[in-house]
Amino acid sequence: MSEHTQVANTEAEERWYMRFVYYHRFLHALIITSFLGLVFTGMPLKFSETGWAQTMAHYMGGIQTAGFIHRVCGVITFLYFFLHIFYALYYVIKLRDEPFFKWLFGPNSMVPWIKDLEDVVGHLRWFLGKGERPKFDRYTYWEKFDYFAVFWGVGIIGISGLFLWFPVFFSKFLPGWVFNVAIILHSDEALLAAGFIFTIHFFNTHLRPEKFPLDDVIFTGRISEEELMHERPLEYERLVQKGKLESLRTTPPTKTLKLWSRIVGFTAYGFGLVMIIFIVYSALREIH
Amino acid sequence: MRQILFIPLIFLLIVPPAAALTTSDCYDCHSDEDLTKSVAGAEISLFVDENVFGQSIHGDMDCTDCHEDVADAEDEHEEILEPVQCGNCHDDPMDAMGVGIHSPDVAQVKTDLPTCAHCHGKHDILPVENVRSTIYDLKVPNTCCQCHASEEVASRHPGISSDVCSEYEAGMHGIVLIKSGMIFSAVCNDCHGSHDILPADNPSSKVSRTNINDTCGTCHAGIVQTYNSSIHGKLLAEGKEEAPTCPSCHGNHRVDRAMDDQFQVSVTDRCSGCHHEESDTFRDSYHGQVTGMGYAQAAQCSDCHGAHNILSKEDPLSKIHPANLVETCAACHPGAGVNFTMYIPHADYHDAERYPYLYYLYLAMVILLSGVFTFFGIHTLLWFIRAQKEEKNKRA
Repeated sequence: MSEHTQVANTEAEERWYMRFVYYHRFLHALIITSFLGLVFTGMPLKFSETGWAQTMAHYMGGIQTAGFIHRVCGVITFLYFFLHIFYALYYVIKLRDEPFFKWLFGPNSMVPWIKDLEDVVGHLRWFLGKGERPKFDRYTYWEKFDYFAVFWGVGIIGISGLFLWFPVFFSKFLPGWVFNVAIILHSDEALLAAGFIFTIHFFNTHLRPEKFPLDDVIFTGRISEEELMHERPLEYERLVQKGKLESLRTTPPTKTLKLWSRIVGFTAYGFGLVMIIFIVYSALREIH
Repeated sequence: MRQILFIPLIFLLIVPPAAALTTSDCYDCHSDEDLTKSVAGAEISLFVDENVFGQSIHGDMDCTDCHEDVADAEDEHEEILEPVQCGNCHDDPMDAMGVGIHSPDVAQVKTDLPTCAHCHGKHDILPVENVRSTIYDLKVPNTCCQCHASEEVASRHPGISSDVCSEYEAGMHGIVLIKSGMIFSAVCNDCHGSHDILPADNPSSKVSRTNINDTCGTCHAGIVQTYNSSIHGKLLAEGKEEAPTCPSCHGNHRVDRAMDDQFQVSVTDRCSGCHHEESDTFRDSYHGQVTGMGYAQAAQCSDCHGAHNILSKEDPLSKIHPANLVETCAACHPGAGVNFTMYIPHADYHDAERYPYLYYLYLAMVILLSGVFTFFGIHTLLWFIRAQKEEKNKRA
């Protein structure tokens, strides 16, 4: 947290707004737990020839137990996937307060549109000192990428995972070589997902200097006025313009909630860090 | 009448005392437990236990039957006797010893070589079926391991390992014999022979490449029959160098129980010595990965190919002949049908020629991963540098 924010915190009573409701936070919690469980029980198999893999499987109660945990976490993955689909449908049908296509390509939708492409270019220009930082809206392009990465990942990894879980059933109407395809997809998509989440997502969302060490908005659900203005100026302006800002006003996060967020966040970091070291080490060994 | 009784006594007077030593004469001295002689400073007991000798297989014989050189001695005899020549009676074993590795004529290093007594004992020799005999089945390993467990002995003989005894004990043959006390288990001489033991590189040896399977087959007759009609057995019969024999997969002194998990998860290690490529592609497959993690129930080589009955894919009796594949897969995957058998268990997605689709899929995945990580790697790095600068400016 920068000095600037601390001053703001103490001097004036800061205003807080709700960014993620309980439902969002609950689904993110399901993602964290099931994803970590999947990576921890799956990667040892991918790198089964390393000593690390053997040790990890041993402490998880053997490869059979690891396999069981993997399947349980897989079921949780499908659960949050469908819970989200239901929510998305509910949003589109009930909560949406603008015409469908306007919403679909507007700032309250996850669908990437021209603005996102402009933001990518603008952001890169800003990195190189060749322009102003783009003004972001409710969802940035990297957040949309994360979102669709999960969609794509759950689709590819989930379906191939089901193939590998129930091969006899799927072979009733598919040729056996789909399992050869499934194992390549499942394994390499998993590597992409784990590698991406534990490095890129962690950095983009939490570890970059503006957010370091942890952006707890996804855990507390609350964003401060200052952060909203700085990080998502377009959303702030629009909410002010439409007079909707006050309806999102909420209480500041309590100390307990902040502490809890940090415990959860840093625990996930820790697991992610262990896994990324393991993956890089094993991948390098494999190449070697 | 009295005179008649005196006649034998007269004989005793006339005949010089004891022309030959009798066994009881020997015991006059040798029943003394403290009777010793000193050879090169070492005290050697010359005590012979009359009871032990009496119960031994030679108990009815006289001392001089074996110690022939004292037969003519009167009362006292030379201190150093000639070695006993067991071969005078036991000529067949003696001849066999002459051609075996323990013979000074055959052994390259001529120290530590056993004589009859080392294995059989001296005055206490018992028949082989006697439970106290040194060559009773339960005792044979102890007898051989007097020398063969010794590192010191092994160090003097190149090519000899002192591990053989501990290996044997850890293996199934040792466990069945020692822990379960079953005398039908193989002991040293069942495989190596007794008097005519030859090293494995000698074609006449019971454990040579050409004979070892028959040796194992004396007990494991059914297995060797099956093996002989397998692809490996046929290659061996043709004299092919690379054909495996029993110990190629099962080891020699330590023969592990094939049903044990430990064995099941290491089957690939046994086949990989010859079948490199197939082992590598197996290890990369799901079956291979879970096997590598110690899951013994997963399919490994023998689950699909068989063990002693391995046959070429073209052979209608082969477990992997197209007509039998459904049955083979269904052994673990009940309900598996023809579609199921289209799985490629040894797929190699690095091989563009044989598995083009898998190769290009894998390539596409590599490009996807490299693309994502390259873009976001650069994105992240640039962002980090920029954001650091911004933070610095803010503070300044």
